[in-house]
Amino acid sequence: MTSIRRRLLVVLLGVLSLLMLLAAGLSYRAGLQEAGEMFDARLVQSSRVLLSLVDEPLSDLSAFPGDPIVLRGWHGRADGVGEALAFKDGHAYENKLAFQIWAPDGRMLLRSDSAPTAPMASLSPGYADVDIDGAQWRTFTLRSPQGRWFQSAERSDIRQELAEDIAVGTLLPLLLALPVMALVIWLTVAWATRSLRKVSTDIGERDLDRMTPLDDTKLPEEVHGLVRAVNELLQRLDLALARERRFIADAAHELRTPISAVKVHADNARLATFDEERQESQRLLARGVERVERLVSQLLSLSRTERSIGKDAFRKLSLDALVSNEVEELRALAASKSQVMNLVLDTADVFGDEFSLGLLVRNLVENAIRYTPEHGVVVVSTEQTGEQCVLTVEDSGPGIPKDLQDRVFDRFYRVIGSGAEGSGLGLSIVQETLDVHGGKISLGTSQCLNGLKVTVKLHTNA
Amino acid sequence: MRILLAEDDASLGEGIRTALRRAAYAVDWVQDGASALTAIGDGDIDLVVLDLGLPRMDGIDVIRKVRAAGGNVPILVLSARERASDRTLGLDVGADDYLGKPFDTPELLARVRALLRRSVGRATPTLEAGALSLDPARLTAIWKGHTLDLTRREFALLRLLMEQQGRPLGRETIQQHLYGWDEDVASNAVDVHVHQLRRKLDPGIIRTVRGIGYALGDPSDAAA
Repeated sequence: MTSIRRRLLVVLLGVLSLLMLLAAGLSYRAGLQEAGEMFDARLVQSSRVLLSLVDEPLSDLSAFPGDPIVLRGWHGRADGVGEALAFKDGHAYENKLAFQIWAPDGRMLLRSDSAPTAPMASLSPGYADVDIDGAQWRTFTLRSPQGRWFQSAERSDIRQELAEDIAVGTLLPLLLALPVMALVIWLTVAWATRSLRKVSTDIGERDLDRMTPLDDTKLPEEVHGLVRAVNELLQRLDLALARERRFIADAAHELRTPISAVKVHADNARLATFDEERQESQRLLARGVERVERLVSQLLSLSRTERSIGKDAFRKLSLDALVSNEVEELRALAASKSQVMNLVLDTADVFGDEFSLGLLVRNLVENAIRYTPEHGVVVVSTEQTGEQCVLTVEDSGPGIPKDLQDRVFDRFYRVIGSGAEGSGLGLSIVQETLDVHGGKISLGTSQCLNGLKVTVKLHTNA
Repeated sequence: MRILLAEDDASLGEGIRTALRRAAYAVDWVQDGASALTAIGDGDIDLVVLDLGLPRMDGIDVIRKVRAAGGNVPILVLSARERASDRTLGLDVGADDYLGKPFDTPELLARVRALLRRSVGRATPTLEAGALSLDPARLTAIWKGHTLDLTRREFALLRLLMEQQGRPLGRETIQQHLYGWDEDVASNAVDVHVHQLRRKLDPGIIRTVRGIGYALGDPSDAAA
């Protein structure tokens, strides 16, 4: 499980912290640089001031060698920052500043008491960074026209301290903002995800009896896509369910009559007084059972066809081979009615599902046989015209009156007085299969046989 | 007793017709609503067994039209529409009984008997006339304590005459109540059945009413 809120918090606060650290680092570096420039300039200036003040007087003293002069600074103790370090007679940081003056011959002439007795840096003009008694110092060395060396020095940590102060000054308000940001993010995400939680509650309330679309009027537009997709899914499910329910209701209704027939024949056989009566009822009972059997198998086929044959299962098939196989299965039925069955099969390819197309062919041919009287003729032909393949089933039966030709595709519809015991499902299965395959069916009158002519057109390629 | 069966399903229709015939009823079988209405209009039908999902005219419309025309023939509806609301509708438009599919044949026959006896204002299940007793449910006739061995037609003829309680019936009418319209009938069939009954029971059991036909006789008179 990933939480949007947790992820947002971690990412946003993480990035924010990194940015703050970067800002602090940058301001530390900038502070260090600025302070360095300023302090360096002051170092030079104090060297020059020292030089202009004491170079001349030192010339007078040069004739009297002796111990170097030591200038004493303020040596009180003080803690704290800023004003706490400043006093009327000095500053706690005085011992972080030092200077030395050397004669051209390397003899020390003068130093501050914060400076060591050895040269703080090598006696050559310019800046240097040196280590004195474990502390970092910045020095500047200046040579007077008389060849004396003036060295000013300053503890480096003064600069670092300043830079750190600047960096902390930058970082501190940002650090204080961090928990506030976290809270704001938390609340914003909670507010934004409330709509998502509402959608999930809404979806949770849906079930088979309540497939109403979700209400998206009060939701942010970011979730509209989700809601629309869910609504479309709900609609599809609702349709499929309605179809399933209708199918079950239809099937239950249509099974009642054949089952009643089976029951009546069974009762008649049981209650028969004479043997021949019993045998007759048993014969009718057997036929009734066969009919229920056929109806059930057709219902299952139809339900399977309706449940939509996966188009993945589609492949290129030989229509003439398919027809030839199915007709072979039905030859016995045609023979029982002494019918002539003619096949005119030209090579034809069809793209589709083998099972359901087989069912389509079987239903059409079986219909032709059932509705054609004894000694009739049934002709089945296939041909291919360009991108289409055509299956034609013609018979010498009574045909279907024009005004009923649309109705025969209705589920469980049977033409009155046709005498055949159909389930009324055959053409529904055919129609369903054609819908899935994008095929077309047309009914007409056979030119040569005067009966019904059924023409089915299907695609040869995907 | 002549029953009109309106059922479009060939197999079920054949089964019901067989069951009714074996219960000694003459059966006319039609397979659509319009034909049912015509047959009822022609009269001489004692009961209609009516399917509702009929082609050309729904069973409910058939009942409405029959009742609107003042027809009072008992109608037993036999339908796959078997929800309570369907039954209520069927009974309220004028059906006398309603049986859902699938049904038990003995129950169907029992309901037919019940409707038939009620339609002549009788409540007792058996028919009695002197020493003659007839049980339509078991298709048995007892004459002076002995069970008679009757054919279905003979039983049907006896039942018909007993239902009339002595009122005479013409040969033509009797024939219509013994044979369905698709059955072969010999021209003297009724006379033959009358002869057989007189032989098996008593010559006086059936009176010949001159110029009209036959009526149930008074067996006690005959015996005297």
